[in-house]
Amino acid sequence: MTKTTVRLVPRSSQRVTFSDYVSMPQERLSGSVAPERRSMNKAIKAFDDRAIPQEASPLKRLDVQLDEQEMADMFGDVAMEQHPTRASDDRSVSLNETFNRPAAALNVPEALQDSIAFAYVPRPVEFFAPLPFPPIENIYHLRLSDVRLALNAARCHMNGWTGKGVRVAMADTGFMLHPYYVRSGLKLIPTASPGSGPADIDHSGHGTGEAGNIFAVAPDCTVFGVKHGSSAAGTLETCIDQNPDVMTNSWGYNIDRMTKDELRINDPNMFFEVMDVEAVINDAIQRNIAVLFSAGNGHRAFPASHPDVISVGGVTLNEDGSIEASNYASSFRSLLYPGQNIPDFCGLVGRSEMSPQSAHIMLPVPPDSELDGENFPSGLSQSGWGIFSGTSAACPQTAGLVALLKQISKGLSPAQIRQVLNARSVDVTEGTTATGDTAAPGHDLATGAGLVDALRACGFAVGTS
Amino acid sequence: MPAPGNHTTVLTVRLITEKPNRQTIEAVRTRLEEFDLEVEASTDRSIEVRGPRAKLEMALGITIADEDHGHSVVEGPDLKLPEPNFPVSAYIPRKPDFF
Repeated sequence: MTKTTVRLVPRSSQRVTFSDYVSMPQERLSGSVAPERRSMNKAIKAFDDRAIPQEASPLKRLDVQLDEQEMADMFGDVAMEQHPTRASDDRSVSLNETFNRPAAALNVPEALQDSIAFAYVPRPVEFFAPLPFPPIENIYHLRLSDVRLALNAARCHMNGWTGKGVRVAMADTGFMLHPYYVRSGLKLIPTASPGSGPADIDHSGHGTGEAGNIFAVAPDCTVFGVKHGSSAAGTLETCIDQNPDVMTNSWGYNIDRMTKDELRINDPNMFFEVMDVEAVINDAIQRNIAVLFSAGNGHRAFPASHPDVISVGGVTLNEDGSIEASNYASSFRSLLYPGQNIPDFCGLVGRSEMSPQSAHIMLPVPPDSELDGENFPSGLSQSGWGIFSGTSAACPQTAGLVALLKQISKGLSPAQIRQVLNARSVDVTEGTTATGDTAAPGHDLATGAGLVDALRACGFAVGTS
Repeated sequence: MPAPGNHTTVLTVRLITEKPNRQTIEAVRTRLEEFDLEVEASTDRSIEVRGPRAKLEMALGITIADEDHGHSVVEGPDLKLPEPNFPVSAYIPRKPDFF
């Protein structure tokens, strides 16, 4: 026979814990210390008389399991109705549960009304696990499957170039194991760095979302999602500790506005941070790790300007299929490293007029994060998705492509990868960047060698293109 | 975020040598341990330490200043330890921008 849980709440509001009174001498229970215990005695006796077991909560609430007859005896004739819940498991599989709830409020028996304030049937908790599928939103945007097509990665996958066996480390705000990743069988490993706290907690949503761009291009690679900790250098060291083939970084400092000598004089604290980060990047390069950084969204970003870093800017894919330099993405000549032009290549980024967050790509995020529901015209929240982009998206897309190249030839050096991408990116000839540089035929400051193309790059790497 | 002038504020400081130098790093570690400071991470060219501002200043002989936007910086970041006498620089890491 189905039983219904009923919870009885005492009248007293004094919060004396259950453990307080069970550890007390019995004689003290009649004193003023534990008034709830006395007030609940009547109710306990009422259930004891009916041989109904009870379970007391730490705050003196009493839980009882009642069958239909017991419900009627205690609370009178109560019509029960079935009510669906939205409960789902940790993989976002709907449990399709229902629970029985009374059609009206439960009437506390008169004999207990002086001690019991009210009684109710607790509703099962609904875990708002995000859906593995993105919601439909009425605004032009790309899905991750569109990113795969736009960067010409789908045919790479048909050739078996999927990033299998390649390790990618991504430093960002945290990495939730979103149902999209779990259901898709993608290998995302949240990894803590010194001072980061739990790596799977991502209050921003940035890291969780942008990681999807790697998998769009390289679905079989393993991504170590390294949560930023106390220092950028320490975070990068943690990335190196994962023994990656590729490191992708959608962050930076807006400081490439003076030479190193000027920085040392004007901001010595930052100067030493630059020296430290530079040394860690050099260490990664020496280990043959390809290191990628976002160029920035109108920023003059370090470490994107580091000479051995592959810097990634932005190109917008318009609704009509045309491409142009994104007016949300950065391009600049480095002052910290004279002779360095940023970006080297581009991935997909929206345009600034789309929204403050350059709404372009639907990405999975934790339901309560800052980017949940970002740029949704419907106003839908708690869906676990948001529409946003920046060079933060372009960099992991390109990192995914580098993972394909590393699968084809593990020993490719960062310099050789740069050669391949230089030779086989798609020239971008229109559009002006956030920093005012206009794309033109051939290599240019606005977009570097252009938009990366996975099939052309992989074909070149295996000698078929 | 540190409160200006609050010397009980807990901060992270990174100490770096120009080139890998295990001997110097060990000397720095010993110094920090003498002051009961918590080393969060270290390599052969860096140590990351977290602790109360006043204790960090005393242990490392540095001055930590507050900037307008709540960020703290190390002033005079080149510190010299008695033994071995190799240069070590100190800085307070800044949170990056996410693009």
